[in-house]
Parts: sequence; structure tokens; C-alpha cells
Amino acid sequence: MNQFISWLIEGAPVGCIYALVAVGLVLTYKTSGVFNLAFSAQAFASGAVFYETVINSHWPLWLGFVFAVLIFSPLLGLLLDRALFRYMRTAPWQVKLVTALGLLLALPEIVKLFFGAQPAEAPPSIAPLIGIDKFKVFDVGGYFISADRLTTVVFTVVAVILLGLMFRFTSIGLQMRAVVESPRMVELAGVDADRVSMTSWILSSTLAGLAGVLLAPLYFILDGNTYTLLIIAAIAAAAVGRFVSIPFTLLGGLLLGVGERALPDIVGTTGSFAQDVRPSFPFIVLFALLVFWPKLREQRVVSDPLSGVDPPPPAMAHEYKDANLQRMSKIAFPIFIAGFVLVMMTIVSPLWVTRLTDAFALAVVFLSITIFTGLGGQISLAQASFAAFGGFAMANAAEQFNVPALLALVIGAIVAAIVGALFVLFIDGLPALIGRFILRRPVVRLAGLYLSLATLAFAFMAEKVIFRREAISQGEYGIAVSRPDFAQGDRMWFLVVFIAFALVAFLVIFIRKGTIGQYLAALRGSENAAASIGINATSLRIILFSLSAGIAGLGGALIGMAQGRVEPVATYPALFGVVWVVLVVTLGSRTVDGAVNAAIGFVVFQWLFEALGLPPAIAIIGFGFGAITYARHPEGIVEFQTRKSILATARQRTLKKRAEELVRVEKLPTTYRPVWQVVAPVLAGPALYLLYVLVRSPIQGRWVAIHTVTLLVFLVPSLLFALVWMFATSHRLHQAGGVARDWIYLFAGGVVGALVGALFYNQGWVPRAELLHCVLAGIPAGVASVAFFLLPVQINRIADNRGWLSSPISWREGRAPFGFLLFGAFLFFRTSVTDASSSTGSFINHGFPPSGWPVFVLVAIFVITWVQWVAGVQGASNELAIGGEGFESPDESVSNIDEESSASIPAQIDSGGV
Amino acid sequence: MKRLLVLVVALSTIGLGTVSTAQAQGAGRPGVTATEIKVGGLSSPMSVLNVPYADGFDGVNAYFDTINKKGGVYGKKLKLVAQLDDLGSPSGNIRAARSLVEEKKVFAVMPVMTNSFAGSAYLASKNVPTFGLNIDAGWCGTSTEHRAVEDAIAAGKYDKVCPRPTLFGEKGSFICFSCGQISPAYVALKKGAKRAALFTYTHSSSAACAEGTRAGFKQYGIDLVYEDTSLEFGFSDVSADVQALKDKNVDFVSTCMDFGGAFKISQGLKQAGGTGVTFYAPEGYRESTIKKYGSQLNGWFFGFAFIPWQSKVLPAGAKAYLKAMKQKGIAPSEQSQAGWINANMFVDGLLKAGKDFTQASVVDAINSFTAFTANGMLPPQNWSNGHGPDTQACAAYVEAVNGKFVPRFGKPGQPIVCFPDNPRPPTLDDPYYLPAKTGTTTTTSAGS
Repeated sequence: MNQFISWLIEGAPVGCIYALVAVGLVLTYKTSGVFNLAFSAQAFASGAVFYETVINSHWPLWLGFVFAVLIFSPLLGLLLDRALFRYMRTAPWQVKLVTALGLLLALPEIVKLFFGAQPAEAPPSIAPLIGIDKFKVFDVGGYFISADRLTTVVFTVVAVILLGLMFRFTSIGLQMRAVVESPRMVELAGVDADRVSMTSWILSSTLAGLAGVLLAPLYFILDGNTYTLLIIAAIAAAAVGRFVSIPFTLLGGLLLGVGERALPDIVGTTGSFAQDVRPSFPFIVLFALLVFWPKLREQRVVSDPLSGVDPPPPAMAHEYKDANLQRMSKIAFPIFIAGFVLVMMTIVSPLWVTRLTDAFALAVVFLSITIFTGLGGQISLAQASFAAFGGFAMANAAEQFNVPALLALVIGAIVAAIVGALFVLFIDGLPALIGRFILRRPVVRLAGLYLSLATLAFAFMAEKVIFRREAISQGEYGIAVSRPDFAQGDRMWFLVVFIAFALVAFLVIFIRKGTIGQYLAALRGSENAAASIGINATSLRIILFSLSAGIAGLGGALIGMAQGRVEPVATYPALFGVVWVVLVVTLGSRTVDGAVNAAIGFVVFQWLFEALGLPPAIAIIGFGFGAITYARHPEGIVEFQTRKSILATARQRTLKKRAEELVRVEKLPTTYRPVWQVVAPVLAGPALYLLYVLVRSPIQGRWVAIHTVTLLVFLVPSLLFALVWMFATSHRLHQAGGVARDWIYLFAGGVVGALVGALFYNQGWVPRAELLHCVLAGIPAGVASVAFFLLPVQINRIADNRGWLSSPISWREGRAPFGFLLFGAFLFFRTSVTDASSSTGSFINHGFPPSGWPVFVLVAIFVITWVQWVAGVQGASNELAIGGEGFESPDESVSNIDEESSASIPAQIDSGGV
Repeated sequence: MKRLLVLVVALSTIGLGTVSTAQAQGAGRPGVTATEIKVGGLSSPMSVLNVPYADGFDGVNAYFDTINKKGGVYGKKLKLVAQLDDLGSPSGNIRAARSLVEEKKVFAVMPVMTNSFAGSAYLASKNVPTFGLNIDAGWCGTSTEHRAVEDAIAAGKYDKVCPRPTLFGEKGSFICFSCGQISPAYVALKKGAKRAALFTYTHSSSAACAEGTRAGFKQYGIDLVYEDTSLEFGFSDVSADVQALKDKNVDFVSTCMDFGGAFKISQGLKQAGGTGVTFYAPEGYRESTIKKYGSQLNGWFFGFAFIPWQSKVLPAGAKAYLKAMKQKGIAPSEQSQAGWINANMFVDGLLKAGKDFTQASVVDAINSFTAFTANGMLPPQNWSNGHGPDTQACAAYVEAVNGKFVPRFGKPGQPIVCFPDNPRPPTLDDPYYLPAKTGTTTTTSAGS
């Protein structure tokens, strides 16, 4: 009994922490349907703000607390709701989960950017806020409880009581509960669901803020990783409450805290079992609840009865290609691949061969996500673990059993596949047995959000329990592995990896187009309907898990072999599984394209940011926030851009045919100009300069230095042409009914650009430049910045005036080139704050490669983006000129692509419109 | 189309990486010009146990500044041209190491301060002089090769050496992680401790330290009455441990943890009424630590392998290091000092190799040092034994007393306490003390 009391007294404070975080989770889940995994990141942010204000800025304790918990945290919640989650109320669970995962990755890195990466020791205690000396220790019947722990209990209990009362006895609480059921129905009843959701986000963020400042002194350290692990414990506590009941969630938190306290007394503090169970206790609890508690997964899924009116997802991008384009792709693609391999095997530098090889090995792992998420419709956060199974199996086979390296790779894949099969048999089979023999009724399969959470728990359990074992990892430094003898060199190893990738890619395409792919699509739509036509969901799930795990295992084996050793934790951190899913889903989980882009982006962006002297954390922030685009483009950015590009090409082709018809009848307006006639002069300057560099450098045996005069000779004519074109187009659009006094905006842009240039000069951000140079560079940059948005807006307005249902271009097209301009300006700013030895400064100071490549590549991409914008605007302008009423441009319907445009010549052309 | 264009542009620029750069470089002298000697380093952003690795760059830069002010080496300025981040991953480490050699074309790599030195095989194969913080088996060889040396020591054979002669850790290239550690046992004996406790994380590096501590306690007769080797970094509740420490009347606690984790235990113990317990930590010897916690650290001991900064008589090397850090406004730390020592060793190697130095001749020069001390900062390091097990185990100790670090257990002017190693002595009753002021140095290291 005494021991139980000591467990209770000593475990309750930590349990209250879990409860606090878990209650916040339940709150947002109940009211907005979002399982906010970033809750712990918000707590971390609040803790960091509290630390910064009280310790570093010496604010009074109460002021720091008020700012962090009652101002900063609610504002953060408001921002998240207004900017993100309010658009997702009726979105599928995958969208909400991926967005939350993206925030989980990005938020801690943002905090570290502002407050430093080093964890902060001795965070301040808030015990003095309730009149308790922070060093005081209370004797409760012979058991000691510190001031911090007591404060935690008091604050948590008060917070939870207030919340419970609010839900039960206030109208806002009732409205919050109703919003969860159906936001649309609630709105039909006259309640502003938007406002209710906003309120719940503010509330939950305040709770997160409170958790952040309470937790820090208990942990003694303020560290992002610690808070990330905390969320798992909180999920376990929330699971006890079935993600809906606040009282039971509180109980779950307390039980978890008491359980953690009791564990050392029950399992000991040394030995394998203790080392397995204690660190992974929350993950074990969560996994066990999700798998063995059927009632948890059987609770009524939060879904909107009106959600079925949402349109189906768009077709795959390649289905938009017409016969010509498909023929061209079939010819061009193999040539491109052959050329790529040839270039990689011959002229690309060995280090870049290594980088891209690492990327393709990663792409193999990412293809496992394509299978599981793109085809299966589920999200697994354990792919890093399956990769690890493959890696360690390969390493043990090669080093312990002297299996040849290539065969070891295959063994790695097979072992991982078996693990995947066992995993699904475990999570499906055991509950089925429980249902059959104990509950006497069928048990719902683990799927959706709960499956994702189970895989997350499994991933951490595997990291802390399985891969730590000496038998698997052979100790701290892992297992040394060797590549095949014939592939010791970088290029041959690339070939091995690329062939492996190609085989897996073909497999994925084959599966997608084949029977299994069709079955998986049917299963995604409706499991019952699929079963009614004879599709066996059980065996299909086994195939899905095995395939996905096996492919991940192969990728993991390739990664391990590339590194020369496979280590516990360092090689395949569990959290990487989250990063990988976010990346692939953002870029496109349904296609091989998406996986490849994600892998190359993962490797190349890290190099790019480091080469530019920027903190690598920016890459993680970019990846995290990129996940937010998933809400607008569930098919992935790559798919979206590809489809957009294909549709734009088809649109332009239709327009061109129209122009040819008009030429025949001599009615083509003078305002019509073929796009190439505009793009060519704009592109000519940069292209010719590139050619000059590429031709001259090998001749003189070294990179051509950047001479300002030479650069200007090439670029100025194109720049001038572009400026004149912008002004002329703007004027023409203005005359056709666009924006009035357009020239004022462009002029103002030029003035602002000049002033910014002068500012850069004054601050010393442009080395070796004169004031005049900076001003002259600033003027076209300013004009262009305005034009990027002004021209599309003008086109929009003209289309609106004509009553068109859709405009041929959106102002959003200007974001990309404008963003690059801003980024370029930021790089110049960085030359002043980074050491001269960094690459950004080196490029400016010393010219071209090796340090200048990153900026060179960025400039090249900017030029391409800019040219694409010019083409888009000219194309839209042409459509205004000869499109118009009756013009049938290709729309989202795939069947329209091959139809000839049958519109008659519109009236606007006769009247001399744009 | 846009993506295709981007890829073509990217590949064409990358492909032209084979075009050589302008710098005239002799064989074995990449990164050396008429006016500069370029080096580059890599680190992890933060160790898994919260150690700030990136401080190492400060130490290297500070040392280079002092040398450059005197004209550099052979009229050439020393320059740290790259400070890469391997993001804590083995593949990142390999890419960073290759980038330093193939893109940045540095003459030497320093400092290397990472969790996982997967790039060690590559750097060794390229014979690039490499310096850093030795906390990974890669400084010796593959994990198999490192284990072979450890196994040989366990079998009483001390002549097996590490096969990577171009890699130089700041405390040698070989560390026997599984061998009995002397320091915790020595401090316990000096404090007359009767009942010891040990705390570690489940992380593998922490666990390896625990193995060594346990072996040391056993070898030297310290009664280990309580252990907790199942803690999780930053996350674990220590209430049970605190209760156990009280129940078992523990009077000495040794940890293989970050300072924060160890401090959490000590605070918990104090709050529970436990007093008079000595804590020993291998990590945490920082000005910022003592400044922040002051007398809360009373009873704490720290051990490390260099002259304490609080010694009454500081060697020239330590004085120069502390002065340089003060001028830069950076608080001294073990990691920045390690970077300083790395740079010192490199410069000494350059000077010994002569004006026509190459990478190979610098490596050979350093490997001929029999008593390198970094101008008195270290116990003498003998690099001529081929990077094998050392023949002495030395450490300095400080105690936190009312907000100050006070050197302990040494003699006046001789703060470093040493014992013979490989084989180890049966008792710790008879140490010898290294004289800081007369510690032998191999060569002068300032100026050209």
C-alpha cells in the first residue's frame, strides 16, 4: 500500500503533464476533427518564448507567463486555424494528418532558428506565481513533492475542470461538440462553425502553452526532441479516453504517469527487459490499446454526412495527354533515361554521382510509400523501421554469413517483407481472434488514423527495443558492410542502385495498372462493396504491407550498403519515417515521379542550403510547410504541376489552331503574338551567356570569372526587351479594360526597386558594387515585381468584364518568380552576415564554381520560372485577343482533350479588343 | 518541360565539375596556394547527449588567428574555409567528408566532431590528415577493427594498433570503450565513498561508458549498490531512482549522461532530503555551467584529459587558448579547446614536415611525435606507437565549490593525475603527476 501511494504521489505530476497535452489533443480532435500531432511543437514554442522572455530578456515571471501562455500561444493557435486548418474541416483524415505532421517537423525548427539550436538548461519555474518558493519541498506523509510538481498538478486540475465545465454547461461548448459531428449541418442550423473552430484552436493552443511552461522545469531542459516524444505519451493517454472523453483522458494520463513511476520497481532498472520496457512504455501502451481494444477503433468515426458531395479526385496527369503527346513521351522518355545514365557514368563528378545515388536509394524507400499511401490509401509512419529491418538483415547476412552482397540486398528485402506481413497479421489477426472467441462478434480492422498511430508507436518501439539488441546491430558502432566487388567505384555503384530503383519503379507501375492496383482502389472506395464482388481484404492487406515493407527494406539495405555501415538509430531514425511520408505525400504519393522528386529534393535541398551558407533547418521547415499544400493538392505538387503543364500545352495548341484559322480569313488581330516570339528574346540573353561560359571554360582550362561588363552585354538586351514587353502589354491590357493607371503601379515599383537597391548598397550587401549599379539593378527588379502580379490581374479583370466563367491566368502565377527575386535578395543579405568563407559570400567574391554552383543553379531555375511566367502571360493575352465567347479551351475533363475546337470567330476580334 | 529544362541545366553544370579549377596545386598539396593553406571541418548540429559539437570550429579559428597574426606558416595564412553540417546522419557525414575533399579541396580536415564518423573510411583512404574529437570507433578503423583492438586488450595483448594512421583524435585515435574506466573509481576512492550508484541512458554511447565505469568499479573495489541503465534522454522520471539512492544510502553517484540529466538526479535527491552525496560527471566542465548553478553544484566533480583552466600555473597553450576565447567573447568549452588542440597539432605537423610539406609528410611528421602536449595543455601523447592503446591513463579533476571550479587531487603545478595503462595497475594508490610547467613539447608552434 505504501508503495502504491508513493507511486501515486510521485507519478501524478508527470501524469498530469501527459493529461494536459492529451486533453489539448482531444479538444482539437473533438471540435475540428484534426488530430494535432504538432501540439507538442506548440508547447515547445511556448516554453521557448517563456524562457527567452524570463531568462534572457529578464522580464518579470508573471509577465513572461502571461505573454507565453495567454498571448503568444492563443495567437499561434489562431494563426494555425485561420491560415490552415479552417480549410480542412471537411477534408479527408489523410490531409489533416499530413498537415499536422508537417507542422510537427517545421515548428521546432522555426523555434530553433529564432532561439538557437542548443537546448536550454534550467528553465524557469512558475511555482512563485502561486506563491510557492521554487525550492520548497512538501512532505506529504513521508513522501516528498517539489514545488514544480505541485504547481503542475494544481494548474492541470484547474485547467481540466474549467474545460469540462465549459463543454457541459456553456453554449460554446455545445457548439464545439456539434461542429465535430457535421460542420455543414451546424452551419445550416445558423451556427458559425468557422468561429467555433477558431475558438477551439485558441483554447487548445493556450493549453499547449501552459503545458510548455509547466513541463520545462520538470524536464530540467528545453529541447525540441523531448517534446516530440511527449506527444506519443499524450496520444496513449488520449487513447484511454477513446479520443473523445476528457475525464477518461485525464485518467489515462494519470495512469500513464503512475505506471511509469511503478515500472522501475516492477521490472528493475538494469537488464535487457528494463532497458526495453522503460523507454518504450508509452509506445507499448499506445500500440496495445490501438491493437487490442476493439472499442477504440469502433467508436463512430468523425465524418460529415454531407462530405459525399465533394468532387472525386482528379485523374492522373498522364491521362490528360493526347495521342500526340503520349507518342512523344514514349519516345522521349527512354532517350532521356539513357542520356541521364550516360551522363552519370561519364562526366558527372564522382561526388555528385554519390549524392544522386543516395537519392535514388532513398527513392526506393519512397516507392514503398507510393505503394502504401498512393495505392493503399493508408499512411504508415514506420517506413524507416522497415528500411532498418532490411538494412540490418542485409548487413548480418553479408558480414556474419558471408552472403554475396547482391544476394544480401535481396535477403534484406525479403526479411523486411516478412516483418511487414507479420505486422499486419498481428494487428489484424490477434484482434480477430479476440473478436471471435472472446467478444463473439467481428472486430473492425485497424485503418485510417488509428493505423497510422499504431505504425508510429511501432516505429519508436522498434528503434528503442529491437534495433538496440546486440544480436541485430552488434553494438554501438553497428555492422560494417561492403558493396559488391564490381561496384566499389561510385559509378558502378550508381548503376546498381539505379537498376534496383528502375526495377522497383516498374513493379509499382505494374501493380498500379494491374489487378492488385484495381483491387486496392476498390478497397479504398468501400471495403464492403469490394468484399461483395469477391475481393479478399485480408489477403490484400497482407500483400500491401509485405510489398511496402519489402520495398522499404530493399531501400534501407541500399542505404546501408552505400554508407559502409549500418548503425542503430543513426542510420534509420524513427522520426525520418515521418519526414519521408510528409515529403512523398506533398510531392505526389500516387506516382513514381513524386517519389523520385521527393528523394532528389531531400538530398539536393540539404546540399543547396548548406552550400548557400543557410542553416540546414530551413530545408526541414520547407518540407514541413510544403505539407500544407497537400490540402489544396491531394494528388501532390508534382502531379498538379504536370497536369497543369499538360493542360496549358493543350490550351495553347487549341489557340494556335484558332490563330491559323483567323490567318486564313485575314482576321488575326495585331495584338496576337505567338508566344515563342516573346519568349525567345527574353531567354536569349541568359542562354547565350550560359553557352559562352560552358564553351569558354573548357578552352581556358578553368572556370570563367564573372565580369560585370560581359554579363551585362549578354543580359541587358533581354532585360530591356522584357521591360518594354511588360510596359507594352500592360498598356494594351489597360486599354482593353484592365487596371486603370497601370503605369503608376509599374513606375512606383521601379522607384521602390531603386530605393531597395540603394538600401542594399548602404548596408554593404552587394560587394564591389557602386550605388548606381545597385539602383539600376533595383529598378527592373521593382518593375518586374509589380508586373508579376499586375499583368495577370489585368487579364482577370478583362475576362471578368466579358463575363467569362474562368480567367486564362491567375495572379498566383506571379508568386514563383517574385519569390525567387526575394530569395535572391535574401542571399545578398546573407553575404553580409555569413563568414567570407561560406559559399554565398564566396560566390560573390570569387565567382564561379566550386562555390558558385548553388547560386548558379538557383539563377538558372529563376530564369526558367520567369520565362514560364512570360509565356503564361503572353498566352493568356493571346486568348483574350482571339479566344472569347464560344472558345472551348480544354478543361479538367479528360475527354475534352482530343476534341477539336469548334468555336466560331468571336465578336471581340472584330471590335479590335485585346 | 520546365522540370526537364531544370534537370538539363543542373546536370550540365554538375557535369562540368570535372573542369579543373584555377589553383596551381602540387601533388599531395590540395588546398595550398602561395598565400593560403585551406582546411575544412564538419560537425553534427548537436550530439545526442546535448554536447555542442559546433564549438570546435571556434577553437580552430581562434588558433589559426593567433598563428596568422604572426605571419602564418611559411608565409601562408591558415584558413578554415568550410564548416559543414552532417545533420547527424552517417550518409550526411560521408557526403560532407567527400565535399571537403572533392569540392572544397582542402589540405586537411578539422575539426571532425560528429556522432557518427562514417566518413572516416573515405578520409583514411584518401590519406587526408584529419583531426577531431575521438568519440567514435571510426577514428581507429571499422567497427570490426576497433573491436579487434579491444579484444586484444582484454586478452592482455597491447600491441595491436589501429589501421588508420592519418586520423588524429584530440585524445588519441583509440579509446577502449569497454575497458574499465579509472576516473570514476579514483574519485570515489579519494572521497572515501563506500556505496556507489551508476546512471546511464539506453543510448549506445552512454551504455558503452557504463560498461567501462562498471568494470572500473569492480576492478578497484568500489561497491556498486545501485544502477539505472534504462533511462531515456530528457524524458525519464527519476523519482524511483531518488528513492532508491536514499534507501540504499548511496554516497557516490557516477553518470554517463549529459550534465542536465545528471543534475536532475542531484536536484531530485536534494529535494528528497538526500545530502552528502558526491557526484561525478564526465561532461559539464563549462564556465556557463558553474556560473548558472553556483553553489547548487557543491559536491560535484568533473574529470577531463587536459589542464584545468583554474590551475594556478597555466601552461602557455592554455593561456593562449583562454586569451583567444576571451578576445572573441566566447566562453571556453571542452569542444572549442579540442578544436584548438587539433589546430595546434596540425601546425606542429606542418612545421616539422618542412617548407615543401605534403599531406603525407605532415602525417608522417605527426606520427613521429612522442610527447605532444599542445604547449602544455595535455598529458604527453605518443603518436609514434601507431595509433594503438596508450600506455598511460591521465586526467585532471575539479570540484565545484561555491560557484567556482577548484582543481583537486593533483599537486601544485602538477594538476594531471596519471596511472600506467595497458596494462592497468592493480590499485590506484600510486599515481604519478604530470608537471604542467615542464611538460615536454615536441616543437614550438607559433610563427613560421
